[in-house]
Amino acid sequence: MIESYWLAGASAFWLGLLTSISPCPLATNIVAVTYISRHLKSPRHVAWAGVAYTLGRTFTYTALGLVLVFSLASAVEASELLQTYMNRILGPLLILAGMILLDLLRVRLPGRADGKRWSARFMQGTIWSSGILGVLFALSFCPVSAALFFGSLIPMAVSHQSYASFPILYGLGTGLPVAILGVGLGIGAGWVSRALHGITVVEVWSRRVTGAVFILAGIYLSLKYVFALL
Amino acid sequence: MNAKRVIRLVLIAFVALSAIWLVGRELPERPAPDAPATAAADGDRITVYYFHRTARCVTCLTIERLAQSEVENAFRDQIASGEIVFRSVNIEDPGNDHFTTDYNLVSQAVVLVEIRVGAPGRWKNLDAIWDLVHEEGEFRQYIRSEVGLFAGQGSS
Repeated sequence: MIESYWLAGASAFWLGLLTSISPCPLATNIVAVTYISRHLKSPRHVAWAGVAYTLGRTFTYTALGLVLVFSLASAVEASELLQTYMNRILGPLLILAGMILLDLLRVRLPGRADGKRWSARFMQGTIWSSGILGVLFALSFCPVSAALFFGSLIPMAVSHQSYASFPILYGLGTGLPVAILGVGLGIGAGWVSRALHGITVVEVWSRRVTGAVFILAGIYLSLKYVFALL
Repeated sequence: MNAKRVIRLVLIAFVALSAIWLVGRELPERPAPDAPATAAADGDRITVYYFHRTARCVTCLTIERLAQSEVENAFRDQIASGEIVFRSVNIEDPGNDHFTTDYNLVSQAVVLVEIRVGAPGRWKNLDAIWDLVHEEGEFRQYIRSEVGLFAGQGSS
């Protein structure tokens, strides 16, 4: 019985890995890797951004799993809703975020005298924003992640009565490969730029590349899910 | 007008167009035309459905290609006689949304449905397709045996 539980737990983690490495969420994974790897000045900051991204994803899957198990929400309806609307909203949202990163757009929040502050914080890439990115990307289900999460993981969690731990393992599986790649790239690029004494220049270009990746991924997702052209 | 301003305007226009397009898609659609009368008059059969959405993914296209080719190769005689039919259905097309609740679809799926006297009867969702899609041989074997078993149960 205990072996079966651990086996199922390992399967939950494996399903997460499978989701992460499938081509289906490639566009959002590229955005996440680029965003996490931006903090060239501080390897510790890069690492925390990777952790926050993974925890953001894990939070979404756990919350969703608990809602599905302890409410009247049906997996079919939740899957339908998220697949239909999240992917359609995500494209334009990424374009706007990319525009903020490239300083093409300035967001002035009501009641704030310093309108540039929010944009500046997003450009710097706080640890919180990496977590929010994880939450958001986990909500945008593609066919593979929907099949594995709603079709395989939730029934497995219900049969083992592991309503939180299996979604947590699944979330870690979906976030870890992306976070590790982002952290590796960020730390590597930081070392190279420090060795070349050009960290400021590299950081400027890193921000530009990140903004461009956000916009290109947003255009791709919009063409695919909004206009159905791809 | 400098390049930065042009890029900003183009991107804002693209986002605005996306928003308008999204709202337009949500307006009530015209009801789908009724199914042709011949459909109800068709004989008993097994329909192998591949359900998908408008946006396709690489894995989903692989599942469709392998499932269709395996059904058409392994059940050539039954396909020719109309006993087994393969159909790809976009569940986002007008009039197809009922399939989602009819067969509890959470994603793209291969579903076997027995049609008797023009009406759908028992059905089975082949939910192991996602586990097997990267092993072509096992995937084909799974489709072949499940369709054979399902068709055999109906005839007994």
